[in-house]
Amino acid sequence: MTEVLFFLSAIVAIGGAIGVIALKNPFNSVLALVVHLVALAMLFLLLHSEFVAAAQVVVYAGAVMVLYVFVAAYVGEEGETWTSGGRLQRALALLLAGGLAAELLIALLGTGLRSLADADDLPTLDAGFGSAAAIGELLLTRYLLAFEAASLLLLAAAVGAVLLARRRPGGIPEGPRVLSVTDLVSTAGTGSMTEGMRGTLAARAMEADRLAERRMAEAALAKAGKVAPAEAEAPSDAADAEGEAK
Amino acid sequence: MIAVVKTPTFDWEALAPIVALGGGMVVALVLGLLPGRGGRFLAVLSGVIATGIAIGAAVLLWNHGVQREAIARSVVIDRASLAAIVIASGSALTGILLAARAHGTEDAGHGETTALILASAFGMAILASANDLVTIFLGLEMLSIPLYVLCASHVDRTASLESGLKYLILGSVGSATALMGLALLYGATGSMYLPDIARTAGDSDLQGLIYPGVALLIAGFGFKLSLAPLHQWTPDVYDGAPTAVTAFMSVATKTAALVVTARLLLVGLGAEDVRDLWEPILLTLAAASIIIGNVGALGQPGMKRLMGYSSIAQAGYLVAALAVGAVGALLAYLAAYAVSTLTVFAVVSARESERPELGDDISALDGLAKERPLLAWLGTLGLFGLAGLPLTAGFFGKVAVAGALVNADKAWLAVLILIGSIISLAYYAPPVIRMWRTVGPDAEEASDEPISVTSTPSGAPNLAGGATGSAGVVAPVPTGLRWEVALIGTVAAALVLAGGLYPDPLLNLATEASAALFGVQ
Repeated sequence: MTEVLFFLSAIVAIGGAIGVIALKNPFNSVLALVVHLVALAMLFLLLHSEFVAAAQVVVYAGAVMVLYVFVAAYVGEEGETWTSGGRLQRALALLLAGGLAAELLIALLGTGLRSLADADDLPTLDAGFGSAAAIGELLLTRYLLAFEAASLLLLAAAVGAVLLARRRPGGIPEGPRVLSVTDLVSTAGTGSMTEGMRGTLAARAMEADRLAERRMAEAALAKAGKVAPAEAEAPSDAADAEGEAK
Repeated sequence: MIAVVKTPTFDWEALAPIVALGGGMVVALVLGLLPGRGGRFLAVLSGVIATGIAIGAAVLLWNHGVQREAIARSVVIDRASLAAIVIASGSALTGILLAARAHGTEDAGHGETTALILASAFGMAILASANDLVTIFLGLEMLSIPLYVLCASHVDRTASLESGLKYLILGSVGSATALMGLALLYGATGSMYLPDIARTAGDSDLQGLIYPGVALLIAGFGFKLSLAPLHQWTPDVYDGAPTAVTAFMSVATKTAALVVTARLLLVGLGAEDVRDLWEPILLTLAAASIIIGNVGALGQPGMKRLMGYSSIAQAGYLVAALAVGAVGALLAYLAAYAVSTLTVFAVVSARESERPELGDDISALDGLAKERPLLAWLGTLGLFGLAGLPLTAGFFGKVAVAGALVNADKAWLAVLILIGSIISLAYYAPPVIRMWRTVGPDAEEASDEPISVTSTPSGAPNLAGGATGSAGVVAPVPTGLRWEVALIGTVAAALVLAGGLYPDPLLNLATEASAALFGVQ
């Protein structure tokens, strides 16, 4: 039974991993990654690590994947084409990757599986191995320093994210920028339904078009002398939206 | 049910330098929130104090000859790790001072900048003293993640964002590679502790796992050390990052990565047949780095780009010493490299704020001797130290490395180092010549690349093809010489000169640290 489950989840895990890199649509890649992570959680369960398996599903397959889906939905629809290197570079990459794969396969199949087959000398597990309590105890004793360092690491990461994403008083000046971190994390009107449905850039372009049309119509009316351009906020709004849409 | 858990004793004495850096990070972050100049000043001050305490505590521990494992054997505090902590804290101090009044720091926030530099230095201290695989990986991440952010912290410059993004992506690949290597190593030996790995690595029945593990580890740390052919990110990242950050990372990252690699390979994997595997790999990488770094640095227009390529070559020299197990020579040269590099970056940073329209372009150094004689002397000393000319610490460092290579029967690599040093004069000398030659009316014609200064619509002069890219950004106003930059540059340059005139203390300290690395096991 264990063998069947192992090979089942191992095959699913490998299939998911191949799907991540082979699928063209980034959204499908993310879903393939979810499959891969769930299969990994099953492998953890087979290793008597219930807590790690649960954390894997909750944190990775749950929270992190939601983030990936958001990113894929926001920036993934631009029709990005991958510019791969020259023919020589591609051949070299294939050669090196193949070499590494062969080396790892020989190493793992040659030694790793052999020691799994000798079921007699498998180490016996302590009672409570893999439980939340056992892991908690390890974090506060054996891995105390790692635990503390990890908490400072999270603090540094949070500070860094705020530093990069927070709004500046003057705004970010226009320039020949291609893609910045801020494109991913800080956008005007983040979270609106339009944006979620159509992607930020499309929504911004639409907004700018709409305002430009309105301004043109107003200008035409003003020219005709029928209505004075009384709205004070409209021009500045339009300018903002246009500036951002660039 | 209350489980009785015996927590490990927290060895405050041995961990004082590490705690100072981590605590300083939190303090700087909080004080930086205070409004106005007060918050700015206090954030920088707390950074200076934290690094000062770390250096002081490390020196005290060194004098007491402390050599012990702490916190459930996670770290080992010995003279090798203390040496790395002193160098990393010193470069963090330099980074904080260079950033204190530089353009762009205000926008990024003084508290955040200082805190992230300290966080990275904290990671380096942990990495350099790590005694088990988990601590190694956490130290590596703690070092890297603040640096990714710091590189991109000038969000209004395209080059800075590009630098941060490139470093993030390539650095993550490096970290993942190293992690895979650590996992295989654990699989092969069944232990996280380096001393236990040392006992079992030689005759593990899973020898097949050790080989790919070691190869992946070297590849992962090779990324951090910018060893050729894993160096491609270095020039772009060094060039785009704020100068203070470049100064910090070029020295401190190499220091921590080298010490942990030395500990991992020489202590953990020093067994004869494992060594036969990694020694040729390291020698090859060192040779490739020396050639590619020295050739690539020729004709670079910007000082930071030049230093990026130069640091690839320097990494080659350092890893050559590591490959033959000469930790003493490695640390001696590392110290010389550190002070020389920090001196050069202090000059680059000082010039950047005086001639913001030129940025780090090499032409910013024209006529420096006449305008700022002090800076010209510092720059000359720093660049000559990197080239390894006599009367600088770099000379004795290089002699020590070459001597170790000859002793280990690897004279061909020593010859390569000599050739590399000769080539390096071709790119270290031009900045020095620019500093000292008198700028006459014909100086403009004599310069290799004519500089065309165009005007952007905003009226700010913008150098075509210069390093300070993005059009439309209002050029910062020139400021005078910042005294703290001159001070830290002078201190570093004094150390370069002291090591060159009287090298015995440097070499003795390096030998002591080397003995400690092998001693505790």
